[in-house]
Amino acid sequence: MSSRKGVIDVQFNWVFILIAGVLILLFFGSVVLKLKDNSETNIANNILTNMQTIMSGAEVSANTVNPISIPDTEIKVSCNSISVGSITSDITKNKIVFAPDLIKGRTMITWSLSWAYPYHISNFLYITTPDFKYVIMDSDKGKEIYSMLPTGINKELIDDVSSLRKTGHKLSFVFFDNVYPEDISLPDFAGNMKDKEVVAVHVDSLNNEIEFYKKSGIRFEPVRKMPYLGNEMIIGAMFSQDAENYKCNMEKAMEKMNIVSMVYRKRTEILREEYSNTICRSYYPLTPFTVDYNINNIGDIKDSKESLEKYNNYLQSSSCPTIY
Amino acid sequence: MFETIAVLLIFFVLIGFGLIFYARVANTSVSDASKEQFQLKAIQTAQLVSFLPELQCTSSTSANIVVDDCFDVLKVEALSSILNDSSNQKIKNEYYFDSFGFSKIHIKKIYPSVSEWTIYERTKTNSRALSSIKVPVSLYDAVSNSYGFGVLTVEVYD
Repeated sequence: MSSRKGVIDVQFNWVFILIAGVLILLFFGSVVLKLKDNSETNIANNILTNMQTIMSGAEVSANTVNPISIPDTEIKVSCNSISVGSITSDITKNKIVFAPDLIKGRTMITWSLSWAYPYHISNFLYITTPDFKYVIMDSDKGKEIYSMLPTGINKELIDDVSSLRKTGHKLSFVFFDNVYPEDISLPDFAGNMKDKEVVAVHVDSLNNEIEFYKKSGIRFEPVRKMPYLGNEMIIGAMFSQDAENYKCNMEKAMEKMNIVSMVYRKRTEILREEYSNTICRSYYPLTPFTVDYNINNIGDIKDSKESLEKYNNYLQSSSCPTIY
Repeated sequence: MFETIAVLLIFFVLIGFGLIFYARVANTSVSDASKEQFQLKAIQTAQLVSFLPELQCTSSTSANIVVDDCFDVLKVEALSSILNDSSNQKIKNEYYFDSFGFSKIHIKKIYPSVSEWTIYERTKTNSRALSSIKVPVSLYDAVSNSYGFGVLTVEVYD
């Protein structure tokens, strides 16, 4: 009887040890997984906080290039948000950020430019990585854009696409006026690259339009036409590489332009009142400010800019306080 | 058998104590991080206001050249009147709220004359913390073509 009880005791001990062991393993396993999740969330939060700080810093100091070391992780950037893994942080309406949709690698390059049309409206922030190369077709406008890009960014000015050599970079082509992407054939190495890794934009400087293209084999196919205001937006199109992202940023820029123009309009009204009995008064026009600031009204905005520049020059030569 | 259960019980009690201790330490560090984030946000808001194109002075030679730490008094008056106008509440409550959140932006001219403007105000009644940052600024008056001195105060609510 007692030997049978002893056998049951031994068996029960093994079952007990097994259950307790599994429970202990499950417990520690779940603790480790939780800690791993927490640590990943912390890293993502740190990256996003640093990105927001970098964006705020770059936004207020124009014409600065900063190569920044980043953890080897994927950072997804859209017009309104930036995310690492499952953590997302908003990009506020006043930040205009032109960047590829995915930033990978150990280095990120940020660069900012002041956008004035004709008065200072905002600083545009551009983000890229050393993986990208900006290939600009040679022309007067091409040279202008090429010289605006800082040395820290991979860039090449070429006459002919066939002269391009394989360097392992993702390629972003920029064509101007009478040279169209659909008319060229890419060199073999570029043709063999993934379609997403080669993009192109065509700038029609006469009509202030940018057309976005996607690669299909060794050819480019048009995707969408969008307007632009100033070289800063052409560079924005090169960096964002995607018509939707560009459009969203352009709408943000228009909203900012509308608000800044309201301020300048009010300022002009005050000056007009102050100088009502002088020669200056006639040079404070309000009509250029009545324009509707939206992306479908680029022609009127351009006319308004030219008109304001003209009046501002008159005011300067007449020793009156200027509009901007 | 009883000894085994007792050992396991003590083991889990010790683990429990460890977890409670870890949770408390983690809570403290979360609270510290949250305070740090708030201070960072306050500094970013003050920095953003200091470089706001709607307020900044621009060089008379080029609109692309902005003058640091200088506000144009006429722009200050203009923005203040725009944001206090009831027809522009959408701009204040959507566009600027997105950038400034719950905060108060105030400019006081203290030399040669005294005047003040509240540019933006969205306060929080049950705020956990308040950070107040003061920045000295020069104030350019285009009408008299002269500079004054003032203080920009940015109060951020958490």
